[in-house]
Amino acid sequence: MDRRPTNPATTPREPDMRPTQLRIVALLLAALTLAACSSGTDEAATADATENGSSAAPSGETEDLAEQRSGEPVQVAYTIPALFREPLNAAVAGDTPVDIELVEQGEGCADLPTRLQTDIASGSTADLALLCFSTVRQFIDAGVAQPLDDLITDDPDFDLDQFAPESLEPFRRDGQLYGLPNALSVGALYWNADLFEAAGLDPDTPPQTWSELTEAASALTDDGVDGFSIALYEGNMIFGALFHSNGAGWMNDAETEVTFDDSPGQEVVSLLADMADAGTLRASSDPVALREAFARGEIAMWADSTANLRLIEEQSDFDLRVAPIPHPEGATTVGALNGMAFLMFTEDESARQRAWEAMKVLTSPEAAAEVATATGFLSPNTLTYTREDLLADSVAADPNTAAATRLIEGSVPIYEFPGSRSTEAGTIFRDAIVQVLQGGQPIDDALATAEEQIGLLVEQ
Amino acid sequence: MSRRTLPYALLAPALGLLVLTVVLPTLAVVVLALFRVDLLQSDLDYVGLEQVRTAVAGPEFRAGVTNTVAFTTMTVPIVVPLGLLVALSIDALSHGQALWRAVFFLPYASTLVAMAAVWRWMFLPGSGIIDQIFSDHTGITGWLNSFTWALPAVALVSNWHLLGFVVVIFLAGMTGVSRDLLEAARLDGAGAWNRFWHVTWPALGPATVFAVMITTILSLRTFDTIRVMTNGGPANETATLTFLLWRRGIEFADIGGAAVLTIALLLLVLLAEVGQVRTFARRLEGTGRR
Repeated sequence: MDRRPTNPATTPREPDMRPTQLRIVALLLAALTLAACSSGTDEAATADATENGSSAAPSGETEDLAEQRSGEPVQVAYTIPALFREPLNAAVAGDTPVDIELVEQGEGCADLPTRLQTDIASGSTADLALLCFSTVRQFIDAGVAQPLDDLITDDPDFDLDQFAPESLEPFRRDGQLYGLPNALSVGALYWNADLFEAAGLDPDTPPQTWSELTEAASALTDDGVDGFSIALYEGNMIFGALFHSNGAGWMNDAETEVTFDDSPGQEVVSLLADMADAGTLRASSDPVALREAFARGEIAMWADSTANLRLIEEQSDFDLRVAPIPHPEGATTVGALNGMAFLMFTEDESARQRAWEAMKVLTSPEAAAEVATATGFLSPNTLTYTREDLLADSVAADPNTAAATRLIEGSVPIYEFPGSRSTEAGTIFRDAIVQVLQGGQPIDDALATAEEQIGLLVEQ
Repeated sequence: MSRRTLPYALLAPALGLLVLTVVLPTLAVVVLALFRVDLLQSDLDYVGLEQVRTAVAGPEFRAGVTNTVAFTTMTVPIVVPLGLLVALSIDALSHGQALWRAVFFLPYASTLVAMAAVWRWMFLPGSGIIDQIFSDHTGITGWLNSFTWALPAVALVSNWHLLGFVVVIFLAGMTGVSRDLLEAARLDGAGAWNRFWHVTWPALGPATVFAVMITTILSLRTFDTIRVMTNGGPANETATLTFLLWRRGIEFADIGGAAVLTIALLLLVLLAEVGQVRTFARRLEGTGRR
């Protein structure tokens, strides 16, 4: 905090001068507020561990293992329990080198960062946290996530090359690595081959370019069927893929200026706005409603995350296919990666070592296979798909999953705006797109306004 | 203890609780509105009224106030007269009053979050029953994604939820209507409308004031239905002040900004209630005491 020396006798009171008493009161109030909002990690951890039994020492463990496991259990906070409770508990159920307590926090990607922020402020953070890619940056930028390089260097048994290189990019800053992934998803184009055939299109040839996408959507749109569909939500991988493939970006390289209103960004929004005007695009802020509509055959082409592949395969009874997001003419598709990764928050040296052991367990090929099998996410650990005792056979037998795994190569991480207001910035961008596609607002106005608002947030 | 101090001593526990749970949190909100809080950096910057000025000038604040007022306008003037009508109908029944009272009160007794999720499914484009029934006749589809229809759709659910509550308030008020007066009016040849206007309605003054004030406060504070059905969308078109202060404080971790919105909501509620008291509440309550 900025403290400027002032002489009350000679210096007039500045408007931004901090009244000490008011500050003390505010600090107390903020602490009370945070305490009220805080998750109570310890209690939650204990309750959760008691419930799922994840920290209980397995019967028959050796004395050596018991000695290694002595000390405080490693607390691991995670979110989206509907997807991750089962595979994470399975991953820590065996003989692990350290005791691991799994702590559920919230229901979605946005919940855990909020809880972590309050936990960090109140000094009771979990040792590890499983976060969505789109929310990790704020913790790395703020310096609260711990670098892993020394732990990796000192561990002869650990091979970083087992991870797809693209999957590590979101966690690299200034030559250091701050996280390890255990689940991946990529933006993909799902298409209903039955509807392609019914519309007289080749069911084996999905649209590859923007013009092919526009033509196919037009041909497929019929009474009760929308040609193309895209969900509008924060951290959307489809916008990432369309932006990257067209050379557009959210900010300039130095991240000093917001740039999504530049020509390449406007072209992406124009593509979708033209389709919306033509009635061939169904855009919605409700991704679940769109997924269900696609599964019912009301949408012919649906752009969304590969994490939905499992659900769509279960819910649909048509010939489902997966392809890359179409790219502009003369360019290639650059996919956008999302997923889940572990960040380390504990600073204590011995706790870090124990947390590292837990992190290795939770990002191992076995754990990633559990996650991929249970959730539909892809594994960032390449060994998962090459080892026959894991998922090598099942991927070979499922062409859609194989196609989805091929999309990882060359993809870039989903963009997160810098600073502690990144979630708000993402919401403003999303709302600008909604205003264009659903509200009929001119592209220039919507993007310029959003660019200005986000610029102010980034400046703060 | 003297007779003079005894009342204060007896009031002290209640006053203490009031200060602890109402006065202090309100003061806390006012103080927090003067600071910018960065939880990750554990940083607290005094910014004075700058935060208030920025928030009030921003599009989010305008949308929040407009949507809150619009939402209240779409609920209170509808649910109170409708509730009165239903209560009069139930009161006129010779049999089954308890059954119909329970039927209309059930939505209010149910969990709003669960009910809002069901309504959301009913509004889904294509598969939702409301969409299927009305889209052919009205041409409206995708209610909750519509810039025009999302807020009315959420207000409809709020009306459905509040109706039973208002009905019960009016039915309770009707127990104070003199049956002798009604019978006397009937014997004097007064028709149904005259009996209502000259006997029942004046006696319902306090119940009407209570129904209007409570439904106004509940509508101004609506959160559950909006969070579940639209999450404030599309593009803040259904984002009320309560939703926005939750999103700003919890999702965006902007405690100072959320405090500003909380103060705005508090002022809006105070303004609405003072306005109601000054315009009709005293008069209606007076008619009830005649």
